[in-house]
Amino acid sequence: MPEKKGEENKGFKIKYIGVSKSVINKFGTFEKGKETEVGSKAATILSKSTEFELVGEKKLEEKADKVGDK
Amino acid sequence: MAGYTLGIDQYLYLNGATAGIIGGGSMTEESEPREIRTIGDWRPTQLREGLHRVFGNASLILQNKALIEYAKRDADGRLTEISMEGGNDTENKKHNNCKIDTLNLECVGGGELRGNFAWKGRYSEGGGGGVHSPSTDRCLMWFEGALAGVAGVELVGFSLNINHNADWVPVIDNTITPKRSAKYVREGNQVVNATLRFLQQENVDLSANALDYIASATVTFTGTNTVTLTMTDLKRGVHERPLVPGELVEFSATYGVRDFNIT
Repeated sequence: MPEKKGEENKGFKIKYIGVSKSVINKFGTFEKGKETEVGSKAATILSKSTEFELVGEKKLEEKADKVGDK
Repeated sequence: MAGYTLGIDQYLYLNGATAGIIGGGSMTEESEPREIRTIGDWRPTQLREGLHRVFGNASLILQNKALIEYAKRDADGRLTEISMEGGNDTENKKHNNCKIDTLNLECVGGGELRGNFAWKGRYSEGGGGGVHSPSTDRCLMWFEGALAGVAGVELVGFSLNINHNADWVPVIDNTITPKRSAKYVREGNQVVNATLRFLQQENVDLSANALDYIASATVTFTGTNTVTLTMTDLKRGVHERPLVPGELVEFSATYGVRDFNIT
């Protein structure tokens, strides 16, 4: 079965570190302090926000080669 | 990236955090061109750069009190300085040293608790980009609200309007950065009024020589979070009896309000 659009190239872990218990945006729902797996595009955009941080060993440059993945 | 911008990519941050469920608004930057005139010409002899101003407004559906608390003054009558940042991932702007100038809160029977706020800032710079991520807390609805302090009426809608009359203060000081920005955004008089709409007309003679204050009236919304709007020392100003053939009559009463609190 082919991967669903937006599911390719997952493997980046993002943690919401803002003030709410949980938040929702176009990339999904994020609970405070909990790591959520996202694709490289989401990781690139979310990690620019002060409300999120990229966690884990995987660096953005490693898999940021696909366009349109989330 | 496509050559156009969509709202689905936009964000608005207050002090670096998502500013709630935002239904619209704008962020504006203004450089006032000043016309320099002289005798002997009908055209401006020069156009010079005036005061650089940054300001904006946004409408939101409330989930908690976090954002609207910035519309309250401290014990010395000062507003808290905040930053407002918005745009999208690649095109964005941050307004610094902002103060909430106006706040309007309203709710009608059957609807959400909504707010509109406007800010004035000292200067702008490029933002860092972001993602709009509102809390998943349920927004506050009319059925979670209750009025206390006004007797003998049933509330079908209200609006609370707060105006701090903030303004920019330019100073003759060429060390200010950026040079054309104001040095301060200062507070003016606080003006608050409330309009409540009832199913019944208040039984008060507005022509009386001395109208009593309503010492305190509160509208409290209790949902996932609780927001209480407290109005202190209300003085009746307008009673309106609409003439509406075939429609429900909603009596409107407008009050001047000495002070308010949001808790």
